[in-house]
Amino acid sequence: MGKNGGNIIIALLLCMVQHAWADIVLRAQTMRGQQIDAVSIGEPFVIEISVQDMAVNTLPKLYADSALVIDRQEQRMHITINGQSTNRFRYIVHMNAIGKHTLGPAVIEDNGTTINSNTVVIEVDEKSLEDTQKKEAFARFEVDKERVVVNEQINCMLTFYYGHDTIEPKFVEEPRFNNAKVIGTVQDYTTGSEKINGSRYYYIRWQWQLYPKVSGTLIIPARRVEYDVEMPQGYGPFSFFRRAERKRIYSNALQIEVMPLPPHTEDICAVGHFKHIYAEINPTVAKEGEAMVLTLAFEGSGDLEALAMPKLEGMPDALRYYDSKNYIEASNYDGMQIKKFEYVVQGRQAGIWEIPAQTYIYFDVQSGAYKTVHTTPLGITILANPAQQVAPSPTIALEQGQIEQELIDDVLPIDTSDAWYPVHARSPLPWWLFIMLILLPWIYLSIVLIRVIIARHYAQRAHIIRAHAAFKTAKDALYKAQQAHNTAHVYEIVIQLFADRCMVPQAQITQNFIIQQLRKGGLSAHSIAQWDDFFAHISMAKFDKINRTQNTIFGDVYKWLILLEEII
Amino acid sequence: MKRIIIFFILISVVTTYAHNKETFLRANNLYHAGEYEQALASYESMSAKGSAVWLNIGNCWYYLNKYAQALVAYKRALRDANSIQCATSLAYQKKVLQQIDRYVEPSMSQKMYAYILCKTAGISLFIMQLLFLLAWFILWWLIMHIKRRLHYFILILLCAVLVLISGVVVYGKYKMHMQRIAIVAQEEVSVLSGPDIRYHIRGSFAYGQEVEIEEQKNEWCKVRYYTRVGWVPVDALLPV
Repeated sequence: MGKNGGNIIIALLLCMVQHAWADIVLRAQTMRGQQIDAVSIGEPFVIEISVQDMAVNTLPKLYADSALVIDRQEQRMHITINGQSTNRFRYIVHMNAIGKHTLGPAVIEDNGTTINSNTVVIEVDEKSLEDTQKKEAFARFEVDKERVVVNEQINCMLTFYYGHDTIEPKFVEEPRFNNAKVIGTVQDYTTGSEKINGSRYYYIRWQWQLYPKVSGTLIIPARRVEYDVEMPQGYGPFSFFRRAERKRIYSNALQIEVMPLPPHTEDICAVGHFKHIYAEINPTVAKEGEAMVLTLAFEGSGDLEALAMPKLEGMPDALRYYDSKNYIEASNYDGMQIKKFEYVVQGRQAGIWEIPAQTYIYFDVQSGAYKTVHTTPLGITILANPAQQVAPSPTIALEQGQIEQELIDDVLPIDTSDAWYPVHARSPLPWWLFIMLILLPWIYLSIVLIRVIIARHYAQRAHIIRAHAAFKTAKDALYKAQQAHNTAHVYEIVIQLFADRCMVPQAQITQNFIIQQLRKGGLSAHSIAQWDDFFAHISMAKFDKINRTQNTIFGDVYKWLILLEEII
Repeated sequence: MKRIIIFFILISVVTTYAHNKETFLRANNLYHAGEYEQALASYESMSAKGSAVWLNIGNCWYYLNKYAQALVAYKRALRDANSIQCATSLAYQKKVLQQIDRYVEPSMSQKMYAYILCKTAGISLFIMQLLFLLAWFILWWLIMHIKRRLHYFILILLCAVLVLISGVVVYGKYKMHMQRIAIVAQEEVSVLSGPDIRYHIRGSFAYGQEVEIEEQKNEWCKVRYYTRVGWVPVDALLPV
């Protein structure tokens, strides 16, 4: 029982945990995945039910009123990303009654556990007659204020409306100005549908915050939006490829009047509207040298990113502080954020000290006047000489340890041990030399390759080259033989001449072969007989060492060479 | 006469050294006492500044909330830094960039690149060039005399890795020596298409942005940041 019982408990726990993690979400969307909250009567759309981290054995039950008609259920998809599995069920549906209808919840029952999804309210309207006349797409740029002061926040909104699901926006020109700061990117957008002049449009909406930096007229030029319109599929061989036509439209342009801030003598920290500005310190009791974290928080709307780390005024000499970090948090108030500045405060002298109230002046955009706010003074206690104090409780020690660690991270230690003087290293190799040395193996390889290529080229064309130069080679060799009085060499010269000229190996050159070539060259029978006689002489000069005057042999050879040059 | 000149040169060298060392120690004490402005003035007054001095100058600027100046000092510290100083400088640069919300988490390859540069920070460019060339020639020799034996392939692989790493280091050190880097020291500096305010604005650089100076004409600098090139006023930049 012991081991099996344990296994059963683990399995049960796993099942419970699985259900605890499981999540089921219902969405209404267009056929291309755009989330919607309104449709026309009879218009097909998709209900998608996503079930996360749960093994689903049965189809989810979809509860809805009778106006919902399920046309078909698409194949269920199972996706696993980073160990998180998702089952998706898609239903192609339409609504057959006008009005507001609630879709859902979708319910999944598994092992006696029931999990319900959210519900979606969808508005069904009559298909307008103007639908066929409505615009394909248009863009609208809107701002929440047309008259502001310098550095006041302007909420801008670019909405791209499109009438058909086959349209897909591809490029949006973001507003960028030299005289205004813009916060926001095209990656953040919302989608939905809206009825305009009786026709329903889908939309994609981008939002930015604009902070004008100089007074005058701020002109927001028309923004460009490019989109693709899917072309109807043809019946050609490549009709399964989707084709799209790229189109471009421009939004309206806008003009904003930016006024300068009213005259003021004190430094102002921000322009905006602030709900709270407060200070807090943690812990309020610390030993000498220990760190405490002082937090200044500004909660409100405006360009909080530009809010610089304020200096703490009137800090007692017994306290020392360092700027630590700043960050922006979400606020519970709509359209507001909290910017927090953290300082590390260290007590240098034991006693009870007060961090005085900090005063900040800002221009309040709601009242149109400067406002001065004060934080509350903070009292802290610094205990003397930590070595003589009673050991703190483990909880406090842990907290202080964490803060000390933070202090170590924040205070930049200086370099006191390394050499203060510059270390002069040997100057590097000149870059031209370095590059040359790197290229050296390439140059060597290139030379080797070129040589191989040339050698191969000559090897392939050697017989042709020899054939072309055969007579010249023969004459040169003959001249050398004549100079050396070497009649025996004439035979070899003649054989080599025929071999080169006819592009055959020397071994194939016979008397018959030569006569054949001479006949081909059109030599008469008489001349061939004379050739026989001449050839016999040079053969004898080679093999039988018969004396014959050199001039006669060389003279004959030259004559025959001239004749042969014309016929072979 | 010659002896007197040599004597005076020696005396001046020794005095300058002693003065600089004393200034360095005094500045360190001022820094520890939290007197950053005075510490900074002392560090700046030193006639020769090594990596340690530049790191400390960067810290002073950091506490005076002059983050662009701090970045410049930390980058100067990299020039003749050893491994530890290099790692410290990079960590401090990260801290400054986080402070001005300009820190971007580096990719894995960038982290590896920084790690290799840090580890080889103490080795001069000349030595790295020689090491690269040696590995390069051995690699070629092995490839040209390759035999079908396992140890040949292992040697080729080792040489290729050595070539790759030393190549990366040589490239990094070369960039550090040759590139003219500057830090943008003003908020939202407009980048113009030419060296005059009459030219149209192409965009802007944020405070603390690192740019490469390509050219300078009078009071204007042509700068590059990846593919963005344009002209900005000289006084908006702090050269490294």
